[in-house]
Amino acid sequence: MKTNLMKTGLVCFSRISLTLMLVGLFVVPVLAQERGRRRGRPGARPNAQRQAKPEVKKEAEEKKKDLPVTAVVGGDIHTVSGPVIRQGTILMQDGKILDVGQDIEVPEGATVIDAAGKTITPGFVAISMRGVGIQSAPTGTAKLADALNPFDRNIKYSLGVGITSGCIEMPTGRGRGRRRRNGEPEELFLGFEKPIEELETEEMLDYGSEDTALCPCCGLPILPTEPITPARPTARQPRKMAVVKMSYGNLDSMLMKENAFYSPAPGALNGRLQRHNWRLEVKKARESIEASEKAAKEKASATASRRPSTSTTKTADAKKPATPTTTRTRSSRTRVNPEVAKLVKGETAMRVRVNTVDEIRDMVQLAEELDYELIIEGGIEAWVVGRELGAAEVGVIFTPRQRREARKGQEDTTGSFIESTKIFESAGVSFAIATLSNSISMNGLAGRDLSSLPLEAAFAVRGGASEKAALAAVTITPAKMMGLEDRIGSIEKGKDADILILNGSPLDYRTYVEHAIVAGKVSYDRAKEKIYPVHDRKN
Amino acid sequence: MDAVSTTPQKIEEGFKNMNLCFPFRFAQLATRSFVLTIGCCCFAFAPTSFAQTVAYVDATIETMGKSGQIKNATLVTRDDKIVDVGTDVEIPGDAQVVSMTGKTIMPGLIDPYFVFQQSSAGGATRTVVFNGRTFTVPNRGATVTPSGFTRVGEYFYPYKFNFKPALRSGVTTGNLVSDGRGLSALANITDERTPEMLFKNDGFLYAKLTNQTAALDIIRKPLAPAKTTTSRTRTSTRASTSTSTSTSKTEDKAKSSADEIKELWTKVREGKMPLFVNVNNQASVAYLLKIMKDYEKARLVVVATGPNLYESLVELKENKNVTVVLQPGLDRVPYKSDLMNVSQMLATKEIPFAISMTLSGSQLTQSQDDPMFPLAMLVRTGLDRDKALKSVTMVPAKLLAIEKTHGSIEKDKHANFLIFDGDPLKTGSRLEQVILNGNQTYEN
Repeated sequence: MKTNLMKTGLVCFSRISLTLMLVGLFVVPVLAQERGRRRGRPGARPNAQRQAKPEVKKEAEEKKKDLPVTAVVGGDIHTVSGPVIRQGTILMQDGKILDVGQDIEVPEGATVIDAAGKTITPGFVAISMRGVGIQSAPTGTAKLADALNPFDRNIKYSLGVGITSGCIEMPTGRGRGRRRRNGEPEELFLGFEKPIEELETEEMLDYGSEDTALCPCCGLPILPTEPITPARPTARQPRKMAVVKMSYGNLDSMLMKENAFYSPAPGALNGRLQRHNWRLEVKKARESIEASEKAAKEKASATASRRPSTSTTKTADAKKPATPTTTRTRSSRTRVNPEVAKLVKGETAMRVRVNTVDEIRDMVQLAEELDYELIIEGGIEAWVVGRELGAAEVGVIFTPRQRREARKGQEDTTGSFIESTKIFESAGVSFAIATLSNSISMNGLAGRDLSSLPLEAAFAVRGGASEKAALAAVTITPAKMMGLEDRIGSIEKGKDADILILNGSPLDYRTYVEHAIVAGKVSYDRAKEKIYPVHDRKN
Repeated sequence: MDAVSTTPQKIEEGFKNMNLCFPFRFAQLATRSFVLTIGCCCFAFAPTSFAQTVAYVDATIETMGKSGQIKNATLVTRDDKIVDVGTDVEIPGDAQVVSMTGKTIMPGLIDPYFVFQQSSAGGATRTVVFNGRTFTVPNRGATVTPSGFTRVGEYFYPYKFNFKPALRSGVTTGNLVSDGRGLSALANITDERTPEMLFKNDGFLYAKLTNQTAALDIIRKPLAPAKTTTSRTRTSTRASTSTSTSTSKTEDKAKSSADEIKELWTKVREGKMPLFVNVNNQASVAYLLKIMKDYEKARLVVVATGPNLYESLVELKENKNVTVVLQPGLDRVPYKSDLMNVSQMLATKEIPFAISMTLSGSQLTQSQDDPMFPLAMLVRTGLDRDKALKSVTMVPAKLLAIEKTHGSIEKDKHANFLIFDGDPLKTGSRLEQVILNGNQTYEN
């Protein structure tokens, strides 16, 4: 059924369909090349967590020895972080990858999953998801950890296309999806936006608000008899995002990270006043962090002077990372938003939806000036400023099939460009793939919702990116953007055992996920779940 | 037969004794125009209502006790108790003998989670000023306070509640709970709607659960053991003062009730009392079991529908102190056209379970002519017959700690039983009479 629907979808894009046929013929290059780590991020994550006490570690290790081992044997392993391992073996224990390679002995008593002739990739990471595993966003004092649903049917649909973890956008309340901006036309088809001048003319032709009426004789707007007080501007709340693992039925391993990004609402940083306020807020956060760091240092030096033999001030400082949230100043006016503090410290990145060249440049400039990590979502015209983005190490969350017509006469610098992904790759811009719609909607247009993620990655290849970059764009790149590259995104020793067993190339539209292993457990089996059809069913 | 020789005076006496169902019965008799022929017709039913000692002879009895099913058996009841049951039972001389040829007797059904809820048309709460203090108490007729703690035993107001569907289904005993959380009460189910229905005011703690912080905290917070010991000493001093002085009586009462609730939760934590949790969705089953991992001793009763349970069977099995309460009948696998028998799945996993006939309101009203049909369906699709029958009698009796007096037809137990005109689990068998404490409360 899926292929049928997809085919009908493809009729609309005859050019795409031609190029898509070629996609299946590609072979993922075997080269391994780790892209440079992002600025600010790695050092910020506390190492203290990993340094468990040696006794506890030993005990845990001994306990771990008894736990059952699962082995996936015989498949071609696309590790993403390294070369492809032909007919390799993956050992998993306690939800983690125990070992991966070609000459690995399967221990006795291990559960063996035969993957001969199959392709194995790390589980896909969706950078933008909605309504999977969380039905309603917690409000007030309610915790997100209490609002998960490990039995959500959409988890199975996600696993069906290989998504094993993803960044869930919390529903913001009213309305479906994001609210349209004033004058913004309604999208007829997802991914096909009207040319930019139509947007502007809508806004330029100011008929006033709903309160003003047009004169029936001359057609001019009748001004209101008394001045209407504008509604008090309310600060737009940043969008909340959490990283959730698609571990069906397993509550404990589901929530990976809360507040994965600092994501201001679209337009929240537009205009001088809003930017000025933002500068102040960042400055305030930075000052507060520095103050608390200084206090911690003084405290550490005081304790060190008392016990000079134990440790130097430097290590003591490293063990106690600055906690700006605890240093709460007296009045609420000077209180620092903990999310902004995290952004300034480099623990999270700013993720902002911008599309035009001007907006992108503004955001990059702000990020450079205030020194935080920036990720651009949308980025339809980002190809124009590819080099600048590469130099500034700004990541892009990109949808290759998102299209926008260029302004007349400015075809070279506006609108979407089919070779965006090629430009990104050559300019060293790391890009993650997002789908046209970020929720599961089987009743909607097929091939456009969240389940089209691998297909969307294939379209990145159509745009000129290498298959390696396209695969990374749905695995390790989004993992890095979320700051979870030490847990997900590639098949490496010690990482979470989120593995896909595919019956073909990961970027081929004909490929099905045969098994999705999440946290070491087979959470999706195509033969058992009645989600995707099984043409080659034997019985 | 004794019944035939009964004089009119005796009948009058009988009606007086029959304090439970006099108006109802009288109306029925009148409407049925049996008044003229009272001598021949009504005695067929009448003896079971008001005679002191009754012997039911030649019956097939599903005792649900040690003797299992007995054929051609005799059941002797005196007042509200069972005197004897078996094949070679001596029938006392003063006993009325009722022939039960071709009929089956089984114990009255016990509902472990009888949601007792009324329309709260007049508002859920009212404010009362007492001794200069303001109290918010539930309105009369509205026992349900959605957010607060409901003591079903104290605010029992049965006059507006329709017990008939449960009665027609053969439910004789119920663990009354409200929609929110609180302390349940045990009641005999009759259509009399009197406060005397309750036979145990302090039942068990129950709560409703969803996967939201506020709902989860209802269970999490009181279950967590108190950090300081000072609160306990304070309660003891307060208790001593309350006995000596009666000036600040209301205050003491309010506070001691909070302490009482605390004690109840302590009992739950220590496994002295089961906790009934009505789980709303699949996710909250996972949350509940996660919370209860910290309290190994606590006995848990999970009240849920089949579709909410079927994917958590392994986790349910891991918790040794869990009992499941579910509704009878087959369930549909979510998003699929397949049917499943969750009760049988629980039985094969050896997870103890009880069945609540009233849990699904629609099912209850649907199966009025054939109350055991959903249960029979489970047996037909693989559930062990004995387990099915016990899940509505003995298992809930044990759950409610009334297994010494209820749940089976055995010597010295309460005379609560149902009379069917055939095998109870056979389609077409009719529930003819419901006997509660020796009195007939329903006849079909």
